[in-house]
Amino acid sequence: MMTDVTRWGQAYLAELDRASLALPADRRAELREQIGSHLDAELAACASDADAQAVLARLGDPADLVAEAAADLPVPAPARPGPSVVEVIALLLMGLGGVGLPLIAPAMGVLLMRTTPRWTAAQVRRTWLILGVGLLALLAGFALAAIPNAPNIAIAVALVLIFIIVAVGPMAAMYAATRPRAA
Amino acid sequence: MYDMEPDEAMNPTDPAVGEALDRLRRGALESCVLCILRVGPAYSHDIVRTLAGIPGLVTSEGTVYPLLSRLRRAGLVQTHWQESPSGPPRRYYMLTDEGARAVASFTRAWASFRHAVDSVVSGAALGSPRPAPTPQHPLDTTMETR
Repeated sequence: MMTDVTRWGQAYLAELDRASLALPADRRAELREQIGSHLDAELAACASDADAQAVLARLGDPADLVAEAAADLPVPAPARPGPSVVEVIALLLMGLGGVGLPLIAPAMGVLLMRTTPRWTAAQVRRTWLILGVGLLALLAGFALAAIPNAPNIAIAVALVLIFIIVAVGPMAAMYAATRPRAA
Repeated sequence: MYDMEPDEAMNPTDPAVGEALDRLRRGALESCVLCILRVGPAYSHDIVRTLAGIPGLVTSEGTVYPLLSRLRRAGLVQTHWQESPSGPPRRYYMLTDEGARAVASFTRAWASFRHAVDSVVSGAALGSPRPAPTPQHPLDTTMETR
């Protein structure tokens, strides 16, 4: 009779093992240990199958136990969709395009930014501002070129301006890529 | 519900009363476990047997164990293993200082909460409903309609 009663406990624990697969390992092990110990104590006092079944009925559905053990687990954050093709192209136009075709390719990238919900209007405006710095550098370069018999220092200034014109594209891309996704 | 015998209220045949009890149970059971541990450390199985022996408090005995684990993670109880006269070592639960403070707070809160709910359920608090505000002077009415 004793072995029959123990078999009820083993069947219950097997069902609990299946139901608790999704629990974190430490919680799963602790629940298994607690219920195993409960069944050891309760089933030892059982004389019949009916007694054993009553013990299991009082214990409850393994799925309910698992739900209770998971009750205070943080709800997993919904999976964020990966970047869309448009978003990647916008970033590439600003980053790589900014080096190959300064200001023009990044401006096309920012225009693309406006077409996706990935960025807020304010983020797009700030990206325009970064490119605006490059445009100012370009205008300053024209002004510099217009000076007749420019001093030697002008060459150094021109190099800095060219660097700024080229750099604003990748900087805009870096800004856009690191902004949190709009809700 | 107030006309029911206590046993009938605790093991209701009406599913709506069952749901109301479920909601109340869930909130109060943790505090009941802490209250049981007020008298000293207890073996987990004995805690479950004590709760199960009180009609209406626990629907499935097994759910008490995850609750005990939760109280331990919250730092309200701590556990230790103790040799058993028969069988494997047993896990004993005892209140931490924080748990003892939680019991004291619950005891005070429960007394006032029970009194408040009792007064609403019995209708005592609703005995003299506040009269709807009525204009005290004909002039007030004309002022309002303007």
